[in-house]
Amino acid sequence: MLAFSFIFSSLSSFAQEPSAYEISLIKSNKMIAVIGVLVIILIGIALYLFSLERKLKKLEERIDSK
Amino acid sequence: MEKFLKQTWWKILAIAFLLYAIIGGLLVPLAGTGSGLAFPNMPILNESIRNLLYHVPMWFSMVVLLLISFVYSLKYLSNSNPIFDNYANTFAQVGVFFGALGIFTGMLWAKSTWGAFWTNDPKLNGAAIGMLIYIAYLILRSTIEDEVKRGKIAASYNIFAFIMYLAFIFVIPRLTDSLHPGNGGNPAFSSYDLDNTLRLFFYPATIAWILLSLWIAGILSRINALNIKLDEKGE
Repeated sequence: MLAFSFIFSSLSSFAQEPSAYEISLIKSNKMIAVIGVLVIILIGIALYLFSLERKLKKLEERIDSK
Repeated sequence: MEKFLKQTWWKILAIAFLLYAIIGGLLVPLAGTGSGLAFPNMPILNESIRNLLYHVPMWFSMVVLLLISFVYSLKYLSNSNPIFDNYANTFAQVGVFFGALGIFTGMLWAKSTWGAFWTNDPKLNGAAIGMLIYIAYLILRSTIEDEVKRGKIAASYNIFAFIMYLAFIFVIPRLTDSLHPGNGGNPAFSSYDLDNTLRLFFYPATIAWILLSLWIAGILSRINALNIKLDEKGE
């Protein structure tokens, strides 16, 4: 709340009064951004691990067929 | 390198530090909401300051991986050992992967703090150009059949690529205006971190993500090395 009032006291960054979207952006606590970042990283690494698995399986098949 | 990649100790360290970074990074409250350990409570950033522990290390990992790729490209130029070429190639690939993670996580964070997924900003554009430089390296490799020729040309390109990459993501953004923290006259988060609480988590987190990236790169390079060995034995 204190931080919110600080922003409004230094409103020079806005050309006009902040829109409803801008206000909700400033007010929201942004935890969703942290969770989203962690989810992106986890899903990315998971996909990469699956791709590594496939490469390893192909390699194992290649060795077995020799 | 080969021996290091097969060791276990640093992998356990990576997971331990990663757990510390995730559990601590999410549990430590923002300043002003209780006594004790707290992260800086900045307007607009709010809880998303925690992303310092997750978004930023993606880029540190990429730089470390690309540095290793660069070193092996240098080694390959003086001694055409296919092992060196394999490391150069593989570490560049995984470097691009972590760069992609850095860009996507950055876009999400940007949306929540700047209101847009992307801005016309030197740091952001520099990071995108850096990615394109290395994607070009990977494409260049795929166009050449002959192994030694491919290795030499790719290694030469890599030397140039790494230097340009550092210029685009570190040097240029600091020379001009930028929205991104740490560039263009903006303070980095360290200036808000007056009691060093962020650092208490940021340093282990960075080490953890770097080690994790080395682990992934190591697994891929060992798979590629085995395929190369099988190719050499002929079948």
